[in-house]
Amino acid sequence: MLPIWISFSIGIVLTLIPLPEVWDEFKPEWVALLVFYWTLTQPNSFGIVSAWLVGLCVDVLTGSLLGQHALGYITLSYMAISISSQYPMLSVLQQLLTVFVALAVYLLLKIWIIGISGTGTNLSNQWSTIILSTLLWHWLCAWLDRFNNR
Amino acid sequence: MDTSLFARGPSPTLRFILLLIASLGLMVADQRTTELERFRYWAGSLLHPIQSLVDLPARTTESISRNWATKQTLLEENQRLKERNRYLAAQLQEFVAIRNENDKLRNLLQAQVRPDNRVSSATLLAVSFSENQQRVLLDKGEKNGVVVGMAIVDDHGLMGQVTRTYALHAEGMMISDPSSAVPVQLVRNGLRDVLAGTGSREQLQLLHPAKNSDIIEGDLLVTSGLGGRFPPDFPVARIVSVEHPTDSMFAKVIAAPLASLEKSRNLLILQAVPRTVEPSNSATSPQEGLENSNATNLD
Repeated sequence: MLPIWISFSIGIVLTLIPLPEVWDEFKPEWVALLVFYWTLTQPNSFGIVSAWLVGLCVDVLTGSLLGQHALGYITLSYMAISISSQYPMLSVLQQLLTVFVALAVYLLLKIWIIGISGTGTNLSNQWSTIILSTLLWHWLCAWLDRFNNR
Repeated sequence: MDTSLFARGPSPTLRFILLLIASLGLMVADQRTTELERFRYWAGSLLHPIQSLVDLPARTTESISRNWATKQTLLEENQRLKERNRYLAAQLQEFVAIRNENDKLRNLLQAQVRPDNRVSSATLLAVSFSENQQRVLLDKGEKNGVVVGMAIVDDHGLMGQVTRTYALHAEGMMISDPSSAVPVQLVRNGLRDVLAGTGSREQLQLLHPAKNSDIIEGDLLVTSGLGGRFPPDFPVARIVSVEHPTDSMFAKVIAAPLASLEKSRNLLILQAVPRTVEPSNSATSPQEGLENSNATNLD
């Protein structure tokens, strides 16, 4: 359990850390990646309810609409549970594609919520973060697998 | 759908649907009501350790550079600061004299005396946040006397206002946030308008300036104090471009903020407090006036 919560603390700090405006659009979705990873590898200790609680923490910390990140993360977690039995059988490229599609769904939900509630503008440049996050996926997995004694 | 061998409780699908409904309910409640502000306050205060972790790299580099500074550089800096302090103190004497004179003149005109500013210093914990909201986190909160609506300034100009307070930290909205609007006044001719954020940290836009209004590049904008939220006459921005699009009834006026929204870490939070001056008080010496203005410091 401990590695899970330590990794989330680090992920949230990395999300909040101030960066120059130019780099902002290349900030990876650390917490979303972590939610996907932990549900995929340890569905018994990290599931949808934990993802929801993490989402509420992120909502409070970033000052966004309460429930916005929570909804995104439970969707990611649910998608991870649904494919967890097939995932190890996929090729590397197929794994990357799966992660990309899951993150794209997450981003789409986020854009919809922001659009409906009117709490932000100009979201076109968000796709670069998704591509970057996908590229970081295997590196993050390799790194987290060291602390993950399944 | 259920993949774990020994699943307990409701199935993942049911859990997902229940939490989905809960999230939607929370979002609607947060958008429409203020009921959840209490929850935000407590949750935000509990999560404060994470906020201070965010500040850790910046604090560490600061303390390293402080520890590695040589005696020579410290002495030089001390000398420089002393000179600067002397210069500012001399200017302050003049300022106090002018303020007393201004108070007297306003009393004669039976106008309201200019408000005093309660000032407290704060450090920036984090900037930006999600989806184009331009927000900042400050390391002073309700326990330090910060209240919602206080103005945030750095040493060049207005940065924003406090929008939410927690026990030990506070959240502010920068003037560049798309939902920010500051009542401003042109110094050169007193023209009043509202300056809105655009989401970019280098561009602010005047709302609805008339096409024939007298605005030129380089004009200085200060807070007008209308609306009572920001203290009057604080520098805010400088006009960088004026365009007259043919398809619009208004001019398009872009201004650049004077405060360095990207770099400033040491800020001041201030609140205008009404000051009452008795007409008999006219014999205040400059020194006394100085002490009065110092006594309003919060920290």
